Amino acid sequence: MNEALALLVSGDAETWGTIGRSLRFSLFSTLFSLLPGIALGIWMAGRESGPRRAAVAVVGALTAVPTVVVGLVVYMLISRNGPLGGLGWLFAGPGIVIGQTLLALPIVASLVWSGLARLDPRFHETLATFGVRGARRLGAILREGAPVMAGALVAAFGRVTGEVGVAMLLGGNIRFVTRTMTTAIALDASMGDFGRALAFGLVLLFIALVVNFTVHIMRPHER
Amino acid sequence: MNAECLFSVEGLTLRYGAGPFCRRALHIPALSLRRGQSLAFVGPNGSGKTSLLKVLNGLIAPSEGRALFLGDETRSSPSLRARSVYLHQHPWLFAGTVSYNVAFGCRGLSRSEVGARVGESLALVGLAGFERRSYRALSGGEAQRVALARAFARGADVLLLDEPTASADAESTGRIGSALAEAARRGATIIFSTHEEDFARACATRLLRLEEGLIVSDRESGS
Amino acid sequence: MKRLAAILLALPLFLPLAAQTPTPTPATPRIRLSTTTSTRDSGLLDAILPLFQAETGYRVEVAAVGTGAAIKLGRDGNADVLLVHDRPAEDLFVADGFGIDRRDVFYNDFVVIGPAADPAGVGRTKSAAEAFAAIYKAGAAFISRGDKSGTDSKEKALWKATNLSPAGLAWYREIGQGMGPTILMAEQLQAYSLADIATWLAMKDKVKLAVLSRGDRILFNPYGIITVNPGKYPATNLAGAKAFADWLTGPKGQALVAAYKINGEPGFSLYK
Repeated sequence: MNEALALLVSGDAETWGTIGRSLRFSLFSTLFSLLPGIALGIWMAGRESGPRRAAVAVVGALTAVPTVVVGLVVYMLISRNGPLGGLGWLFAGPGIVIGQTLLALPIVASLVWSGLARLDPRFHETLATFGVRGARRLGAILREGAPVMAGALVAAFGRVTGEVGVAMLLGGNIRFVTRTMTTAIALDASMGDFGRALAFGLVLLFIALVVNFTVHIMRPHER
Repeated sequence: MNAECLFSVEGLTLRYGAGPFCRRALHIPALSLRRGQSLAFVGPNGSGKTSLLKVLNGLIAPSEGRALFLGDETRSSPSLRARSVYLHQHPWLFAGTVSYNVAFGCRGLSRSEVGARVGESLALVGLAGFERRSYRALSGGEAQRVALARAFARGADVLLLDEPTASADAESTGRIGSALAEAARRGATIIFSTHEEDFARACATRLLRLEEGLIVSDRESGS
Repeated sequence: MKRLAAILLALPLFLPLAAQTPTPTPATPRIRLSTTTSTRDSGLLDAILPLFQAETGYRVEVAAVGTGAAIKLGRDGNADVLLVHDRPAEDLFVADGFGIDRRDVFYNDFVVIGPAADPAGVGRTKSAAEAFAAIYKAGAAFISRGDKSGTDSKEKALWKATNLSPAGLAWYREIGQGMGPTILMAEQLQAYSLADIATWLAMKDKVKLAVLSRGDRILFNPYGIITVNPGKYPATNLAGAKAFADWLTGPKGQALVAAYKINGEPGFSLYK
């Protein structure tokens, strides 16, 4: 425990470099999942139909896919003998970001959908009686649903920061390049270096607490 | 001399639920509402007042029969949308300032024109100076008056209100009454439901009494 | 006639009894063997342990971790016998009193693998140290296991022999993983690496890499078998550990090791 705190407080370059790297990957992934995730969530929350019901089921299932499975599928796509192998994304940052974006997307879509579905029906009725349609209606939904969407993004960020399956498979845990907090913990723990593993563990715990707190206070108020 | 007939109802039946839970909410063979009338639906809870308002407003489709506005089905009438505003029993305001809400219905006006319109409408309901207030910082009665101001700002000449005084204290009730009277003086058609008989008699020129979905009396007072 | 038929019919009942040799049941049948991931990945244990178990009635539980962790298992008393390949660490283990009776058991070697195109010219070098120096000079991508395993220790020793320190340089990638993932990454990035011959032979058909340097004495990889000291940990299965060490260094075990091939080539060599 002492070693963990010492590493963090002393500003140890490698430790903080790993922390910064992890957060960068997570931030980019969450950002890339923003537009498609929110768009998908808004579409799913529209008038019920066959395709929409199917989408809700599929997206819901995708939020529960094990991270290693996502990692495996992307691995096969971007490995040398895969269709996208020429881009050199495997065992590099882009590979991790792609995998984590695919993890974040269903979470954002699913949370946006459920949040919008819980919007007061009076909201939709008021828009209808004002004859608001099309782009104006979309604008009103974005405005009214902003807290829901922010909460969804924060939740997705928390999820990808704490995952290890994608980061390990697609990043390869290369020191100074693709080593994240989670893959570093896996390595340090397997070698018995619990001090540094704990340092990362504390940071991840802190992030998880902040994320949960933020999601909680961003919940829309009752009216 | 007959004023223009705005709403007409023919053979209307409305049912909720299905199978053993099917409940007949409304059964109205004929009804017509003329322009410039102030009409109140009165009756106990569950008598169908809100349902009738929602059918007239096109928010619900009849199970049998037709509800028409100027000859078009209310469910799909563009002129209804352009000319009418609906107020829920518990007022719905968008997330934003009072000014944002009141200005919501204004279309095609310049910034200064909108500002003037907002100020005028707020003055009508006795809320002058409330422009900057947040939607969350209003009492029930004040929120209802803002919703009413929003209707006036839109320039709607058909007002449908569900229990406009339900959330209001004595002062708000008085303000709402005088605002409606002013609107009637300017030629608006006002249709509202209420269980407060005094308010109905004070603000309406025609009283429709409903019981279990049927019209049991339809009286026009002089003046 | 009827009697002959009866005897013939009854005969099969006696055959199983005659053919069966009873399996011995030792007092403590469980042997905890601590070894390295490379050893496990070579497949040798999968091939020979069942035969040992059938013959002696022992049951061997294999814990395969990095060499450092494997020895630590012995230090913590969580194993009965060690099969590792890091002579300095083994000697220290015994010197510190945690192990008794260390024996040479077999050996194989390390090889320097890399892209067939060989941009650093490793194929033209004459020793392992020269090979590493060439890689350093060219700044060619190199994958290091970085997990304190036996292979990792050998690699670090080689860098020391060249007086060069690649730590922190962009082309030197430490990944903290086992031999298999290291080789896969070397292929993906078309990089150089140091591999143990057994894992290499098992994987060489799956990856587009070549052996570029081999045979230098320093690449020698000797395996040792050490029994954990029951003086330090009384719960150690001394009889089981000794039985396994005897078998592995004895004629039966040695013959099986020599015969073990990976993709058609012998994975290990014996001390004559």
